[in-house]
Amino acid sequence: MIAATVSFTLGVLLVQQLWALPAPQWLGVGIWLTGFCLWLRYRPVAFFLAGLIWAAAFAHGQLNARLPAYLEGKTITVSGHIIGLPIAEEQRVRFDFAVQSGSKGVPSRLRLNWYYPKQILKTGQHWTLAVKLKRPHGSLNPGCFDYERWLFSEGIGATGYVRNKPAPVLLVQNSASWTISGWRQALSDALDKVMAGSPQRGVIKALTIGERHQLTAVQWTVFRQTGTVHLMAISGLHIGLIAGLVYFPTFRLWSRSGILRYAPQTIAALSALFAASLYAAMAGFSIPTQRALIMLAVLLLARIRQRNMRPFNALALALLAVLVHDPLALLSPGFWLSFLAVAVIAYAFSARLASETRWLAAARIHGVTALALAPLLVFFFQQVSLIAPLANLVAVPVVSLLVVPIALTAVLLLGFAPTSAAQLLTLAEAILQALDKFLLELAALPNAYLHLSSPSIAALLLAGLGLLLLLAPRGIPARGLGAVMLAPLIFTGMTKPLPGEVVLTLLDVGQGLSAVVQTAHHTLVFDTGARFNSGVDMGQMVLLPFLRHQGIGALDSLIVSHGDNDHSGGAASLLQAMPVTFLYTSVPKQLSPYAATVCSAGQTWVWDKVRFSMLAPGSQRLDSENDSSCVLKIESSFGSILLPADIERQGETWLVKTYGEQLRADILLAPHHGSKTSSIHAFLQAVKPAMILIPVGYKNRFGFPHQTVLQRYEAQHINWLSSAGQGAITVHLAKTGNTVESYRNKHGRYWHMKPGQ
Amino acid sequence: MMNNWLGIIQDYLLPPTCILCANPGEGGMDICRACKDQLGKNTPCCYRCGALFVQHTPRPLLCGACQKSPISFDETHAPFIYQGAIRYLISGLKFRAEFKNARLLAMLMAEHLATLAEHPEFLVPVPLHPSRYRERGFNQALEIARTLGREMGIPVHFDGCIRQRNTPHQIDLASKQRRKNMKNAFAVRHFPNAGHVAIIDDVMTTGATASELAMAMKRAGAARVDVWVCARA
Repeated sequence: MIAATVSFTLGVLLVQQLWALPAPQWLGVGIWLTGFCLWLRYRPVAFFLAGLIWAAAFAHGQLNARLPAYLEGKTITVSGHIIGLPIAEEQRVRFDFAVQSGSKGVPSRLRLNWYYPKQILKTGQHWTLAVKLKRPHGSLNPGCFDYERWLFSEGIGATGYVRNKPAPVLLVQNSASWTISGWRQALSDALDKVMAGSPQRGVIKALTIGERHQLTAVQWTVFRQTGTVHLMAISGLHIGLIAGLVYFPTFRLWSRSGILRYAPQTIAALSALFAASLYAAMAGFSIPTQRALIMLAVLLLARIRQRNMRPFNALALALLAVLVHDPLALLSPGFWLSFLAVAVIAYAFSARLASETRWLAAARIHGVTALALAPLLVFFFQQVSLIAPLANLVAVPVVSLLVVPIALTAVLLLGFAPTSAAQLLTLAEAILQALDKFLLELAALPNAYLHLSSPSIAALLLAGLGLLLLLAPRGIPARGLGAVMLAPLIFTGMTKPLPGEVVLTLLDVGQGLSAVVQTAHHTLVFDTGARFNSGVDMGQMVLLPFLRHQGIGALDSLIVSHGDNDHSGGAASLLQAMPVTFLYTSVPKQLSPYAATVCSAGQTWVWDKVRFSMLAPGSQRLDSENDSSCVLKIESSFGSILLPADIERQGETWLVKTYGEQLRADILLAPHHGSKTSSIHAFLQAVKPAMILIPVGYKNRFGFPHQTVLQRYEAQHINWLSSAGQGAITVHLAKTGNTVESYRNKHGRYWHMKPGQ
Repeated sequence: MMNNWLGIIQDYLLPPTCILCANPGEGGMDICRACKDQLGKNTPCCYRCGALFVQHTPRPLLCGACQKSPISFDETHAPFIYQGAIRYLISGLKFRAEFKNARLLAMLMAEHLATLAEHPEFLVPVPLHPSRYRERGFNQALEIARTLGREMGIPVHFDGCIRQRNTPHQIDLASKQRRKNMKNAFAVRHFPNAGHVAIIDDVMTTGATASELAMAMKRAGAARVDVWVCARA
């Protein structure tokens, strides 16, 4: 069983690394080969192939359900219903839409935005909508959240927005009142009413109906810093606890009933499974709850059938079941973290003498899981909480033994006894407030959490071996050596450029600009991407994760070229999260709390044999803010890069007049995202770049880069790449030769849109 | 056939694993060959009360005690001696609610009984007094009887016999006191029209409990009452 699961998992894992899927006809060959291996009794090979084929077939199915390119950007009329709970933001409502009828090729599942809808959107409503769709696309950067992967694993075939003309028609108000999502919607509405204005509404909703969108940014940060984020996901811990809370009383009650024909443990196990399923349904059968249910079912089956169970066998079985059900589950960090947590507990506590007190055992469980999950957490999130064991020792029992049962009882009572439900919710809220305070204080401790750069796979595997040794039973010699094997995790960084070399990464921040320049010992960030109305910004979503992924904890210089949101929106997040030595900007007022220096022509400095010079703005005032952008030139002995931000015709003309031939650069960032008001002939002539990088959003509403500009580039035989087409673009000016690397090209997987499409 | 498939699926999903040493189990049981071979076999023994003889006997024989004062049941089948691993398994079931032990014990019994014992029409697990059952939450004899009945295809009579007196634990009592303690402990509420039944229990020490239950059933009309226990103390 264990060998079979490991082989199958490796097969699935291999598929998820592929740049493109094997053609469907290869799957037939694969099935034939699998049969052959089975006949030869090469069972692990057969299971490996089976994993491969199943994952590939599943992925093919999912890919075929995506929007074809020719429908992109067209207005299409679709009918269907809203699934899941719509999420209301300031200007728009976000929801998933199941299409029942529409033109040929429209995917069955869409993720839509509706700006200023006139009606309140609820799950289950049937609508006929005019929509404009895009193929699934997201910004793609090293170390950052992969939105395309998420859309793919959720089976969403297109994203888009609802048009107001032709007007949307509501066909049926509530077709879902008896479905699970109808029930969840009703609970959500009731909670909104009862807990209006409560700071803990988001937490209560997360713990009961699995709706985490109302958790505040502050709450997220505290949970992350104290290593308690997992408590906000309804998964094995909460579901197992509810199962236990049902199992034991039912067992007692049934043994009192005097009915002997059915064993108390059978009845108790079935009731526990039923209660767990109910809870999972309330949470919308999210993937972690499915995982937990499968594992619980295996456990209870063993109990009902009075079978002896090997913990690792049960784990392997659950893993196999999860992967057969959804091979893409492998793509989420939660999958790895939860299976690893269970495996570690089974490993560290099996075949040991249980002579500890309950509290000591609990402390050991939290210590051991925190230690064992740390390498994966660093790998996925580049952050590890050092106070996690302590925080969890308190938070886990408080949340799972007090808050979850109380909140669930309250939610179930909402329909029948609203007053007692409200009282229970007030109680849960009070407990959560106290917990919040405790966690906040913990997070404020010095060195409560660490940021580390992302470890290599080799370091991760070595750390895994080290943990096996560290957590081995007492008596195995030299267990302490395991700790040494964890060291590469902490002490390896990304390879840094040599003195004189430059690495520029043009990040894919959608429509906007952000670039990171690294020399041997210094880091500069040029612009920070946009900030959105929903409160998120590219600083926290892309820039900070990227910097942490690179192992950068402090900036030597930040340049905010001008005040436009798509360049300056992420600055505040960045400045709050990291120390910055020099801050240059053309809009010092906008960054007044941070003592910014005004950028101006003539500023120049040398880092590690690389010269940085500010070429603009000059002393003469130009008309527009765009034209007053900071313009930076980077020169090394291996090449030069020009970053002209958003300058337009006037700014370009001034640069050409002032610097002439000195503007020459090998790499040019397209001025103003390739708009037709920039990249004038004289400017291109003066710079004579070999390559232009265009920072633009996919299918952005401005139509950047403009066709005439692209034609101009091509007429001058200048190669160009856009961040929308390539994801992050990394330029190496290096001794061994200059290279330009597209992240989409190099690290893209089969679910990603191919570069340049 | 259906049941068979379910069994195969279970054997694959939850493969038999030795409860004693965690090696793969044998013959669908949660025990491995080596551990099974080490279990103390209760042969040769008295065919009526299961008391172990010192020497091998060519024919079934009665022990001295049974010759002197006859007891109310007819035959006893107790495959194992209450010691070592068997003792560990039984006390695990009884005191730590290890239900998986019930299945193993029943299967070990079934293996032994399939060829050696005459099959009765019904299995009757020794009942617990309701208050004891409530306290413990289960009845180990009943849990063994469930699997045994399924394995051997003999129906189990769940609730025809009851324990009407909550008798104190027998552990500290001598054999004479035990018999006194058990006096009129059982009542038969409704009894199937059966000539031959078998009492199921985990351990037999003096046979006082089984004897009392057998007497009650004989009064209710049973012609022959055997006792099937896992181990003889």
